[in-house]
Amino acid sequence: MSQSRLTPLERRQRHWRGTVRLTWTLGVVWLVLVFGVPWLVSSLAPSQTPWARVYGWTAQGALVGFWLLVLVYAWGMRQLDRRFDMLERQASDGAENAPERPGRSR
Amino acid sequence: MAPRTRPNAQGGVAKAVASNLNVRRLHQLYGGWVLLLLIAVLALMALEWMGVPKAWLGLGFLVGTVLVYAGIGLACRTTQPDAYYVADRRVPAMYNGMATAADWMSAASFMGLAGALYLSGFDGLAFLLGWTGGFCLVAFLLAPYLRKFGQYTVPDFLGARYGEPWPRLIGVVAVIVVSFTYVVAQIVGVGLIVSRLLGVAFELGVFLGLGGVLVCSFLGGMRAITWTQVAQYIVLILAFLLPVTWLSIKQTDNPVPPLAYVAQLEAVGVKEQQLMHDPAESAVRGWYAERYEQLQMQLAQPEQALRQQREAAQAQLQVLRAQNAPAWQQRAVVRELARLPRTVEEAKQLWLEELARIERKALPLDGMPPHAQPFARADRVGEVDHNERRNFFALIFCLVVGTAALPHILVRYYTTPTVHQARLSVVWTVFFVLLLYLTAPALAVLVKHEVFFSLVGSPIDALPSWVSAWQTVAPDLLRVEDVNADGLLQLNELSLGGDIIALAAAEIAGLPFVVSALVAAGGMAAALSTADGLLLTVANALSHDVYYKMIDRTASTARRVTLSKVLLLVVALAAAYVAAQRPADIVFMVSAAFSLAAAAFFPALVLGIFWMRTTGWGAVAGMVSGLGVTLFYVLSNASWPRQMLGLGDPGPLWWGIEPIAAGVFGVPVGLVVTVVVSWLTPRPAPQVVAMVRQLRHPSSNAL
Repeated sequence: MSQSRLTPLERRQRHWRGTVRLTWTLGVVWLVLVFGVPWLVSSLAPSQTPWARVYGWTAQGALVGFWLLVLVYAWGMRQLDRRFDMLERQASDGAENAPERPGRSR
Repeated sequence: MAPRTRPNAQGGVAKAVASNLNVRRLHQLYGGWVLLLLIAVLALMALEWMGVPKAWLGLGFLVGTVLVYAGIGLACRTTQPDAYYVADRRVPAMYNGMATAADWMSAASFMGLAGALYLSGFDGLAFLLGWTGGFCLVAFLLAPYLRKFGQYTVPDFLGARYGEPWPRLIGVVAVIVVSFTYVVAQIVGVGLIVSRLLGVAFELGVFLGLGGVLVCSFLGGMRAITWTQVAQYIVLILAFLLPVTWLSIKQTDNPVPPLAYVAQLEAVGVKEQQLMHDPAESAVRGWYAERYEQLQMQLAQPEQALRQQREAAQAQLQVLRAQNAPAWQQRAVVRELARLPRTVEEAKQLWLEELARIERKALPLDGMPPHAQPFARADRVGEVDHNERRNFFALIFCLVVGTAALPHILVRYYTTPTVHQARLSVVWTVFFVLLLYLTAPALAVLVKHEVFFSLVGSPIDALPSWVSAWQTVAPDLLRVEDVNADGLLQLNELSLGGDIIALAAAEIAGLPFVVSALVAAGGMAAALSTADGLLLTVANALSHDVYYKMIDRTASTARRVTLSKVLLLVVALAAAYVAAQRPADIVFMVSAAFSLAAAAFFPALVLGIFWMRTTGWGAVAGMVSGLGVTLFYVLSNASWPRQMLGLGDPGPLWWGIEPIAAGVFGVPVGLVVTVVVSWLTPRPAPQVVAMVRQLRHPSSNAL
């Protein structure tokens, strides 16, 4: 969709709102993975649970879940950057706009 | 899946020419390194087959890899600050991920993790989840924003966001406390590996290891350590995966250990039930329980107990002499007399050590909980231990938040070309960390399967050769004693230290000795790469943040880099000096560093980016109070630092939380104090607000 009619200020505000929304969404999923899953698992009835499989799924599933989360974050942020025209044009873009660049040798 | 990296397209012609570093060239170089390693393993295998002594092979492998690291370090020497502090900001995402993974995975990950999982079953998952889950916080809350900020150190950010000089100064103090604690633990690890492998004294091992650390980082700073860490990652991951994969093929015919181990875990669970009710096992437990009581009685009245032991032996000797017993019988008693402790102090120490050693051995399964069941205890099956459950979650909290606050990890995200690459770089870091972390639980279970099914119940004089080999080299890591004298091994008669699970994996899998040498080199690479990153972080905090930013703002770039190098040497020597005093507990020191980092940095950094209203006073008060509460809890409850500082007995625990998870109090206190003090103090200046606005978007073309 075209965002060309937005003013720079609006684009900036919407980009940030999108960033915060993405961060919250993934953050809640993350909380469930880190604390919720082990909590649920440790509340299962000891005698009726196939512990070996539960252990395997907790250990492997949570880790792969973390990886997917950072992957989705990187992808989602790229989409946001593109949508609101915030892509970096050059490698030095971020650096040159930093508030202070002491002692640059080049 | 693989994000493409394009530094040349983004870096501009000048940079590409200045460095002639491009991704294809990097792929070729490191591909060559993998090949070289495999060829070296095969060549040494041939030499081993031809009869070259094992000690030579082990030494050759270790020295060879360290020389390669040194060569990379030398080739990357520099006097430019951008190269020295942030590797020119041209490290492609994938290689930055690999270097960060090596920086991240210390001796504690390489050796300690599998050991913790082996010994504490489900409880050990706290380390597994905590040490990986934290990277999500790094990705969401810090890495892209710090990259956009684009300076050199973490105190740089605190100084720019919260004003000079106090926020920066407190940041520097926290960086030094955290990283120094962590680096001492790493150097202890290096010393242990070197001394064990070369058979030299521990102190000498420490200083030899230190030499290995310095050749990598001294001349080239961040640029050098980045490219050596990539090489070190390759060594450590090959060294970790090779034996586990072999073990997995041997036991299950499945070459992917993370998929293969669940079936083995089921078998282990069944065997656990059998062992708990095995009569021979309970006889052994009974023997240890008796011995435990006896020791406690001796310790209650040490003088009397020692006198009795002496008198009993002398009386026996007299009886033997009176009966004119054979000389060998008399000699045995004389020897026993000579072995008795000379003084009461000596006796007490000896008995206390034995007491600590056999404390768990009177419990079922050698004190290990049933492997797969959460918060269970072998002596109380089916019950959830609520205190352990609380500590489990407290520890996860400290490890995840600490991961997102460790300065030596955060500075890695200054080194990528763009913000987007910083985000991708976290993806790669987690990918490379997972290669090891998905396999570690498999290693623990496969080794347990091997112990339960091949060792337990077999005759003691027919145990595999690696058992006796390790018992001679490292009796603190592996010990077998036939206490019920039935000639068979019971589980509780075998004492295993956690570190041996990874170190002996190659021998347990029945691989040739060369692979064990590779494993030792891998452990060394893990410890070296982390120590490098930490040392550089401390030295840079001193030279950049203290000297340049606070003392001499006119210092030339060459002078600052030279000062960094000198300070690196000083800090390294200081760390080696402390490490040579053998501080007791590596895992404790590492975890304490996580708690301290979490409490000191996490609230100030995250609120500084996400909450405009955070003020300098708020941040200062939050950092001081968070760090203070954490330090107070560690110092008032952990026995080891209390002994060091000559304080009395540990104080009462709060809600039963162990001091290893002190950050669970420090972080919330820091957060609340930061917010409250920020509300009470005037709003941040407009230029600070403008700076934070800039951080929030990768490109500033919208401003």
